[in-house]
Amino acid sequence: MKFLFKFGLVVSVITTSSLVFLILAFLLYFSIPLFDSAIFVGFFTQKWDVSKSLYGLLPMILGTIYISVLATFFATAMSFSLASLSEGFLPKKIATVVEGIIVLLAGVPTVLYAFVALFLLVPLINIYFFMGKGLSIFTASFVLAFVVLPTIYVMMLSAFRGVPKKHIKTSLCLGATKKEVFFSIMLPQAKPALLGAIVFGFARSVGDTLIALMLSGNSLHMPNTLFDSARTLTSHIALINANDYESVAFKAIFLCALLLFIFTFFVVATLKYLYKEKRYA
Amino acid sequence: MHKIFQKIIIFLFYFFAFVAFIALSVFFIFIFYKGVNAFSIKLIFDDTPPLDALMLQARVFNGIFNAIVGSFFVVFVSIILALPLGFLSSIYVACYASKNVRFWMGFLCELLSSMPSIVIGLFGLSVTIFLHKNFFAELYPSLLISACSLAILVIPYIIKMTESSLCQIPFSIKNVGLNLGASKTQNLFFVQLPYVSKEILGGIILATGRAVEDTAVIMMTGAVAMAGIPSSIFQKYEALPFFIYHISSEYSSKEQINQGFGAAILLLGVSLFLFATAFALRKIISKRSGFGI
Repeated sequence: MKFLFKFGLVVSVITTSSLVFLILAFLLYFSIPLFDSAIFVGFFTQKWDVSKSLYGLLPMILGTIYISVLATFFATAMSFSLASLSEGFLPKKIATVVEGIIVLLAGVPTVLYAFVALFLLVPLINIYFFMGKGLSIFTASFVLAFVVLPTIYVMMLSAFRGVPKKHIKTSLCLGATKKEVFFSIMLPQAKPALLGAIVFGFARSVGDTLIALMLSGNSLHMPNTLFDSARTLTSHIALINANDYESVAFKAIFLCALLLFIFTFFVVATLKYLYKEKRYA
Repeated sequence: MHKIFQKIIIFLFYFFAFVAFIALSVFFIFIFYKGVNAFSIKLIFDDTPPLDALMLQARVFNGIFNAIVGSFFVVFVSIILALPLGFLSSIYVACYASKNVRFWMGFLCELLSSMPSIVIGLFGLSVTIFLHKNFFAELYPSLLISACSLAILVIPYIIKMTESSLCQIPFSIKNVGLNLGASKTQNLFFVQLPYVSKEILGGIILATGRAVEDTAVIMMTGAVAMAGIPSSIFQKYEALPFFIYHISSEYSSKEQINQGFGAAILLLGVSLFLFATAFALRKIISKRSGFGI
């Protein structure tokens, strides 16, 4: 019995730890035929046009960068304000309520944000602000900000809470106001962890599919302005409709996924390096 | 000068918090208003008598009943698959592993949990293609494949929650059984696991919530718009989140949009309920003496 239990332990550890390598192996298995062909450089310089057999991923890469940077900007502005208000300025009772609400927000399915925005925000922008530009980078990143908001908020809260209570109490005893404590004690000490939270939020916004898929318009042009329609790497993967599993168009999808994989790897490795053993749930 | 600067920053804090609050309340009011208006028994079962549909006597053609059943099954199977794997590996990592193994497992788990879900969906699809080409010619994207991919998605959550709760057990409780002569396994089963049962339950609930809401994985691996209730796990199926996505891209009438809002409020209710339960569990646990989170 005990042997069986230990056997199960080892088997499950090996399985779970090999999942990441399995994912990498399959992505490589399908995308490796692309590496030695002459079109490889084309993936990062051209446009995507299947009829002219151009398979450039540059518009998607740019779209991903624009949307996620803007979304991270919005989300950071909101969650940093909320986190610093609830840790430094609001009375404790209100802060608890705010925290409860935002933690619950993490449970809202992303598809619902996109669905509501599609019937509320998009017509609004279409009719009142920019004619026919409802499905754009701006819309997608604004809605995406609310998806990553709870993640960044929770990490920022724990960053502020990581500041030793001793320092805060000492400075309060010496006669510092709440404002002074926040700006000269808490903010400088929590800075690295706050930056980590932003990086993590950025990774989250790069990885999200549904918001960009439903709200950014999915056009294949190079995005130039904020109100252009664009396509992200994730929604490009979601939009494949290939029956021919051998075609370059289908294999290029795996290159997108590989890019996302590498990006995630670097973000996680950086965060791990920054925090060492400290964990954020 | 410095003071004015600080005042401006604090004003900006309130401003952004206000913007976030307004946007979120507009979102919730809109979805509740639309959803509650649209919600009815007819929305779920269409014209089929509800009892017949529940007993699988009659087919529902135009309601969201099929999607509810499909979602339920795919989440159920995925949790069944993910639970033993995640649970056992977290026990290994928390109780038996060396420091090095723990570090690398933590790294791999974090990598897996921050992997974009579409990549995991694509992984499921590519495995299916690979198996289809080389081994099983009848294998197509199906409920089983979706469930496996969802399991990959939620395994890191289960591991993280269980492992951190096992590691946070106070030493006084961890060591008392060992000091009284229990073996390591006995101590694990009779002292540590009962002590953290609530956390483990909370982790499972969170994982369920994560599996229910995810759309990207299931749309890559076998969720379709019209499938009926699957009779085996090797068939395509309908699911609530995919239904909402499908409606948003291909609606043709007002009734369909209403159906979408009905499905949306149902999904929102389910996942908020799951999250609130997990949250409440955590609150109960943190009140327990000698166990701060």
